[in-house]
This record gives sequence, structure tokens and C-alpha cells, in this order.
Amino acid sequence: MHKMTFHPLGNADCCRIDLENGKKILFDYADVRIPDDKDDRRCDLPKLLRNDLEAAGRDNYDVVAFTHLDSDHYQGATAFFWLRCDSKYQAKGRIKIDVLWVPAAVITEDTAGMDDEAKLIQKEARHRFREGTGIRVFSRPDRLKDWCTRNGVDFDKRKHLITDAGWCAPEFSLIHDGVEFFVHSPFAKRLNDTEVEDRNRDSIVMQATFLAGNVETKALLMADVTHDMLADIVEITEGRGRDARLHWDIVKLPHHCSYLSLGPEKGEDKTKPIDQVKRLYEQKRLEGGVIISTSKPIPSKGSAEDRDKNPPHRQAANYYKEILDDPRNLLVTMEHPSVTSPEPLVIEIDRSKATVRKRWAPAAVVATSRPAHRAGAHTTS
Amino acid sequence: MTTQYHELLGESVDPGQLSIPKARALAETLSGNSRPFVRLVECRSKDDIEVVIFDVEVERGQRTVHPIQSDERIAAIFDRADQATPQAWALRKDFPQVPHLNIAPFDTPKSLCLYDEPYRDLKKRWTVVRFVERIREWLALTAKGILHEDDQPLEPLLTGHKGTIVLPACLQEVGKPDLPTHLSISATCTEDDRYFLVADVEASRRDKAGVRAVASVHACPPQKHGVIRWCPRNLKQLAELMAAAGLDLAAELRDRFRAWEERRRTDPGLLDAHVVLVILIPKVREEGAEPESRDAWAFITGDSLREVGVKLGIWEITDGQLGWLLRPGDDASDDLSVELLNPAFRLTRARAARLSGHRTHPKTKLVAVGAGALGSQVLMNLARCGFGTWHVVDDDRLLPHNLVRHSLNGHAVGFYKASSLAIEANALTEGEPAFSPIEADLLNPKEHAVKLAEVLGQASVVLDMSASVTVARDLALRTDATARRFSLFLNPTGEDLVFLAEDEQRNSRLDSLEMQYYRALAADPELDGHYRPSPRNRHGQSCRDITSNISQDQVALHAALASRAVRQAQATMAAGITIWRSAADGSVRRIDVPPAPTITLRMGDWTLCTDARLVQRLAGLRESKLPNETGGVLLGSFDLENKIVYIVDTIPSPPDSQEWPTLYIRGCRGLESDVIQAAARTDGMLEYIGEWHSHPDGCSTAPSNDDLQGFLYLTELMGRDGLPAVILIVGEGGNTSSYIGEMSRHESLLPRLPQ
Repeated sequence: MHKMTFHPLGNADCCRIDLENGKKILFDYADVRIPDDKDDRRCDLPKLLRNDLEAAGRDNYDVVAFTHLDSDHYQGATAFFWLRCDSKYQAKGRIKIDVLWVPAAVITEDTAGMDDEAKLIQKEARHRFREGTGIRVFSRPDRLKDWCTRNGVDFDKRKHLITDAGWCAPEFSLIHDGVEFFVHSPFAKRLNDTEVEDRNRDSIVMQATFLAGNVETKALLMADVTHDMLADIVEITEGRGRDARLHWDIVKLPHHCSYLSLGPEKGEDKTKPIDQVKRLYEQKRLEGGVIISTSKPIPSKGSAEDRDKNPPHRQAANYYKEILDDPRNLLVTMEHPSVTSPEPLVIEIDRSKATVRKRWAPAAVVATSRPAHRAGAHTTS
Repeated sequence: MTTQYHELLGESVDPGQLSIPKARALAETLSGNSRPFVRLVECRSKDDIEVVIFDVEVERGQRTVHPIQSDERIAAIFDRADQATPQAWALRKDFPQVPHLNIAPFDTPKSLCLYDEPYRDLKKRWTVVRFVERIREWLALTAKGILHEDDQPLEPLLTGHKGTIVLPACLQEVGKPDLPTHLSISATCTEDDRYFLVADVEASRRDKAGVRAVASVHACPPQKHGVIRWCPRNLKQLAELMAAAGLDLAAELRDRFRAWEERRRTDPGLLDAHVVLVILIPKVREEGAEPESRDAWAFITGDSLREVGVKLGIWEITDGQLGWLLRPGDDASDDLSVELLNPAFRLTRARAARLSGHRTHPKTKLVAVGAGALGSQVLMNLARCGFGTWHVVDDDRLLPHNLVRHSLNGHAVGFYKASSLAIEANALTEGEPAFSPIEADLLNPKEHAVKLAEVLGQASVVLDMSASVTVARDLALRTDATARRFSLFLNPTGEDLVFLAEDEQRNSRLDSLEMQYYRALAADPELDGHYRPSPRNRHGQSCRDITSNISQDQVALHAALASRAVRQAQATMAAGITIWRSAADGSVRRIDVPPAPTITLRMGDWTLCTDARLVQRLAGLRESKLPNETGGVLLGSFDLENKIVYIVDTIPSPPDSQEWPTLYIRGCRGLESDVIQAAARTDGMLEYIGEWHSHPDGCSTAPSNDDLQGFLYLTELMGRDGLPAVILIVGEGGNTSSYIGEMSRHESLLPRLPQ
């Protein structure tokens, strides 16, 4: 059985994939919780991840992917991971990354507008790329070549570290690992090549195909892409006759259930998707498929949150609920299993394809995963 | 389309009105929004039953094996006395027939079989939360079709029987359908309308006290597990159930009963017998797969065969006369009640082996000599796992004091141990008796001599458990058997167990293994105290007699080790010498002595018996002193009756010896105490028997003039005790000449073993 775990982090991402063969992969890492705020229901990400690693007897991930350099996808990462580029970040207890996955933009992007943490992740990626080991860069060989030339790096000796859109990442294979990751984005089509790099356009979008008990389960991991970007992906993939690469049993929604990932207009009660996006959700969906929104709870109509221009958007959620077999198959990380006490959302992948785990947490697990209640004489007053 | 649910009896009540604590706790847990995936629907109450109805959201994959829906309605049933496991019923009318449902009448809600342990055990851990989660887990795993994990045994197809019936093992096969199997059934329990019946093949019963019955065995085609879920109450329902499983039971019964009835004249009383139906159902995991296991049901009718025939429309009774019906008459089989019984078949040896975790149950022919404390328990251990076909030789009768450490009980006092033991062992399993007694003394078998020689000749293993060196030696030397010899005995304190096993080719003979065991006792500090110095007589013949104050647990411990050792040795070809030493704290230590092949040489009246390891050791000692000669004292044992000299060990050259290239004069410093010690450690089994010395390279092992002089001196000395002189001369290349009683001028070489 393979397992995907989506962590309740508000509008932020971290998805762990545990393969049947024991390998572990992390897509993004955003430790956004405010520890001193007792009303913060977002999970203690580093603790959960450490517990899991400890149980598996390891201190590393086979792959950690940063889909793009927005802080809701990397916050706190430089405090958690062992970085090869600087011994300051190599203290005992830091978690090692065997292979770092980044879009080409992480190497090539200008540091302007980046915070210190993003700069450090860029430094780590560049360090590994220079060293020629422990990294995979997705797409944009043209830009990488430029960067190499400017920085005195032999591009030809780095070529094996680059995987272009339309290919599968070589770290995993269906035969050996029961999974393959097909790269949809980043890719070379751009409206205006002189434009500054747009991180969302340059983010990693993949289709993971899992194999378990001879049954395939397909998951689309869509970072924060917008509707026009999705339209490009759908058109290019369809145009090459590779429809199956768009099929999905599981979707990790882009951008925390933003209407902009469906279409340009939010709509009154339901967002209308543009045609290509509509095809993706309505025609490429496999029976019983589920959609994961890594976001805050979906606001109710007329609430203050509903008026917020930030996602999640109720109208987008309504669209997704409508196209699913069961509206409950839209799963929101901060709503699962309940708004009052969200827990990591686990999807098990086996012969039954995707099964969303819906168990009551045993009391002992709850008790030991949270700080104890305050105790002592002062509580009696 | 809306979902249809079963209606339940009783009146609807508020959760607060529930009075059974568990029901109330469940309702409280479910109400409000504190728990995800559940929703309270209603509570009901009737008499001493309270019901909590709730919806659960099922953890369900995209694909399901069984059509469990994403939401299921469950009724939890609680009884006031809290005697029965709280039930969980699936209320959806079209809830599927799936594995792990409790048996229930037609058209009632399906009852989930949640637990496989009795409620009295479960109660200690039962909580509302665990109960609900178990229901949800049951639904989730059933949806995936993995409630029954692939490596779990297949579940029984039918439960809910009225009691148990013990049946002869032969009824596990259809056998000869045209011949009824006559049974005699007696009840061992009649309370509470539950039965416990024991059925034996009638002919095998000495008493004819039981109820007569005839058994008919039917086999149906292989079934996937967990398909049939209700309990037939009459023959018609049973026939319907079997028809669904691909067996036309009614037709088979008609054919059989006709065939039986035709034999009525030679089988008086047939028609008055009750009918026992045995139905065999091979179970498969997947369609078309090999059957993995087999279910058996037994049904017993209240009617006699005569009435069963009438109700099946085979014949009719007019004025007490039976008349055949040309065409099948009215089927009144719904008036023919049947009771489902859980059949327990008698143990066969194959099953005994399987249940012992053994893959095979060798039918090897064995002769056991000695059925005393150790012997009787070893044999019963082996009988229980179906091991071997045995003759048990023992001429002792059981005395009351034997009961402390014997497997037999007080009923056998006064009877031969061998025969009583055979009866006990044979009573374990059905089929050909595996144990036959020979009430004879092996050394003096009298009228049993012919029989004894015959069984020894046919055996492939002879197991000595006589606790007698004489018997073991006799067995080792007998020529009327080719079998491997094993020997088991305890040391006098009962703390140590010794197992000697010849190899398949008998290259290491039992008497030689015994001597090698003494050699280990003399030298190995691990074996200190095996024979404690004791004031009792030092005749070896009695050294295996255990003292009278040893507890049964000690003997049982060794019998367990011993029976395992016998099984394992039988399965291998190699020889072995093993000693298990038990300590007061319950720990047991195993010491293995590497066995060496036996070397024998006949010289006149005498036979020399030694082993390859000693010969090697002497050669090594010679080598280490070259170019000088060396020598020493030989330890061993005389068997004056069989005229055998066992040469077992040496005390090498004492420090005051004179060793020159062509001369050796053995010294004597420390020698006497060394010999005494060896004797003490082996309970006198090793003693001084003679001398050895080496010849240098380039010389033969024929005696020199000095050697002849020495031999004469030794002959005179040993002759005073009525013993022969023994001298070995060890030369180059492993040549060893031996001289017993007389010394020629020529070499007298020990045979060389193939390497």
C-alpha cells in the first residue's frame, strides 16, 4: 500500500508520500503554525514528520520537492533540513534530503523579491547543481544553459540532472517503486520571453501514477498554477495524444481552492471553469476520484471569510463538489475530519485505488500527540 | 431511489431515556458533533433490549469488492443483563451477503460478526469508541474484501450449531455410498438443549449401549468462503441450501436409501436407525482455485430411516409393511427436522502430526525396549504426534509406586506396562493401531523369542530405554537386526539425559558410542558431576538406575527433550552423542560429543573395540615426541562375557617416563590418581586395561624383544585378576598393532577406516 498524507496547514502545503517499498517523498514543506497561539489548529509539521521518520528508523527523505518558491511552500524548511551548502545548517537532528527536486526557476530566478529563506533554498539548489549530485531540476534547459554559461558551470556535465516536461523523473519507476512521476510543468511555452519569471508558471506540476496490486491510481499534484497555465497543460498533453497523463483519481488542487485556477471570474455561487480546465475535471476524472484542497475551511456564504479575496473560494469549491460522485469527495485539509480538530488527511492507495482514511483517532494517540492540559492547584479556582 | 431499511420492534425513545449503560453511553457519544463520520438516528427500547441506531460513513476506496455503501445504517443491540456481545445489525435491506456475518434467520437484518472472542473476555476492553470503530473497520475492510486477510484461514461456512458430535475419521470421505456406516451414538451432555454426542463405528464398540444411527456422507463442489449464511432447520431447507451450492442432496439421498434398503435383509434394524448426514464442503479462496480447507457439517434427524424414506417420498408404510413408490411420492421433507451439529472427527495420525506442527508422520517401524518412567513418557509424546509404528518390549507390570513417574494411571496397576501403554497410545488416534506390546524380557524372551526376533528384524530403529547397560550392549551386538540403535537414559540423579544414536550405516555402533560418552565424561569439565561419587556398588550394570527420589517434572522435562531428539535423529542419517544437563533453576544445557566411527578387530577369542578418534589421538601423541618413543596407559572396559576389550582413552606418558629414540620406559607419577579419577567420573566404567607405546619412523609395529618381555610381565600381572594383557604399538603412517592375551612377533594392524 502507498500512502499520501496531506497536512492541515491552513493555506499552505506539505504532502508526504510513503511508498510501499519504504521510500519517502515530500512535496513542499511549510511549517506555518504559530506555536504560542492555542487557537491555531494547524498541525505541528516538523513534529509530525519527525515522528514518522523516527518510526521508520530514518533521518532522510528520498526526495524533497519544492514546487516553487512561495513561502506557503517552503516556510521553515531551512530550519528543518540539513543543507549541504553551509555547515551552519548541518546540526544533529536535521533531516537529510537525498535528492532535491526544484523547477529550473529556483536555480535561475533573480534573488530580487526573495526572502532570506528562499535565497537559502536557492543557494542549496545551486550548490547541489554545481556539485552535480543530489538534485533534479525540472525543465527549461535553455535557461539553465544560460545560467551555467554566466556562472562558469559545464552545462553538458549537468544535463543528466535535468528532466524536461513530457518525461518521467528517473528517481522512481513503476517496476521498482510502484510509482512514476510524469512532468507536466514547467515547460517552455511562454507568452513573453522577456517577462520576469513568474513563479506559479514555473512551478512543478506532476502526475503521479501509483501501482499497487496491479491497479493504477493517478494523482495530479498541481502546485499553485492558474487556469491559463492549466489550459496550456491540458492542450499540450491532449495535443500529443497523451490523455492518460491527465487522468486523475486524486487531485491536489492548485492554490488552495482559488477560483483563478478554474477561470477568470469567481461567479456568484459557482465558478465557471474555462473549457480546458472543465475537460480536465469532468472528462479526465476516474470513478470515485477525490479532490484535496490544502486550505482553510471553505467559507460559508456571506461570512467575513467569504468576502476575503484570498482563497479558498466557496464558488470554486461548489464547482468541485458538483462534478464529484459525492460532494464529500472534496476534502479540505483544515476541515478533515472536523473543522474543530483537523488531522492529517491520509489517502491509502491499494487495489481499491484511493481510500481516504476516516478513522477516529484512538485516545492514546490524541493524548500523546498534544500538550497535556494545564494541571495543578491553580486550575481549581 | 431511496434506501430501504429494516424496521425494528420496540418504541422510539429519547437518548436520555435509555437505561442500559452501554446503550446510553453509545447514544451520548454519537449525539452532538463531537465525532466525525457518525450520526445518531434513533434510539429504541423493548423489554430488556435497547437499540441505538446510527449512520456511519464508511472508509471506502474508489473500488469495492463487496457493495458496501459510503453510508450504512447500523443498529446496535444491547441486552440489560450484558450477557451477550452487543450486536451490530446492518439495517439496509439489500445489505450484501458477505463474509463474517453472524448466522441469522431469513429476512432479518444482517448481523456483523465483529469479534472472534467470547464476550466475557472482550468485556474487559469493550468501550463505545472501540465498538463503533470496530463496526466502521469491519465495513471498511469488507468493502475492500480484505476483512479476511489472504493469510488467514478461511472462515467456517456455517456456524450456529446445536452442539457437537464426535464422528469417526472415516466419515471425512464419501467412501462407499451404497453401504451405510453404522454408528452407535451416546450423549455425554444433555443440559440446556445443547448436545454433546460421541459416535463410534458400531462394530468397534464393545458396549452396545448407544443409540443406533446410520451415516451418509455427501460432498458438494468447492465453495468460496463465506457465502452461505443461514441455518437450515429441516431437510427441505438443507436441500435448498445444498442445491444453491451445486449438490442435489435430495436425489443423492433417494438413490442411497434405496440401495441401503435393498440390503435390509442382511442388515436388520437398519430402518430403525436414526440418520446422520455429513456434508463435506471444500473451501476455495478464488473461483477455480485449489481447495485450501474443508468444512464439514453434520445433521442429525429425529426420525428413523424408515420415516425419513417416507417423508422423502421413497417408500410408504402400509400396515407396517414397506412398499416402494414407483415414482417419487410427495416430498414432505419440510416436516423432517434436522439439527445442525458441529462435527469433531476422531484424530488420525496424520492430523495428530499436523496439529503438532510436523509436516510428516513417518510410519517408520520402531522397537522400543523399556516402558518405564522415561520410556512410557517418550512413547506417549511420540504417539501424540503420530510418529512411528511401534513394538514395545517390556516384561514389567505396573506397581503403585511407578505411578509417580509413569505415563500410565492407576487403572493399569497390576497389568503389563507394555500392553497398557499400547492401549493408551492406540486410544489417541483412529485407524490401524500403531502400538503393539511384547511382554518380554529382551535378555530372556522365552516364548516371545520368535516374535521378538521377527520384529527386531523388520524394524528400522531400535530404541533402548531400558536403563540397563546390559540390555543396551545386547542390542548393540545382536545380529538379528539391521536397524539403527538409539539409546536414551538418565543419569542416577535424574538431572542429565543421555541420547546415543547410531548412524544409518552403523559405522558408529551403540556400544562404541557408549564408550565415547564415558571418554567425554572423564575429560570434559562441562560434564562434572554427571556421576557423583557414591558409596553404592560400582557395577556399571546398575549405573543407569535412577534413585527413587526424582520428581515427575524432571522426568517429563527429559521425556520432552528425548522424544524430540528421537524424531530428529530418525530424520537424519548421522550418529550422535548428546547430553542435556538440567539445573535446579530450570535451565537446560545441551552438550554434543562428536561421535567417531567404531573400529573392531578380532584376535583369537577376543574382540578389540575402539574408535577412530582414539587411534588418531595416539598417533598424534607419537608424532609430538618424535624422534623419541613415547607411550602411556590405556583406559577402557572389559566385557568378559562377550570377550570384548573396549579401548577408550589414554593417560599419556607421565612426566617421569624415559623417552629415547629406541626406548620407552613409562613413568608412574600421578598415574594412579588419574586412573582413579577417570573411574570415579564414569562410575567405574573406565578402568586400566593396558599399555601403549610408539615405534619410531622406519620401524614396523611388530613387537621388539623388549616388547615381548613387557607383554609377558603384563600378562602375569593382569592374569592375577583373570584379565588379559592388552598392548598397542603405534607406528608411522597411522599404523597401530594390537595384542590381547598373546603377542605374536608379527604386526597385528587395526583396520584403517576409509577417510
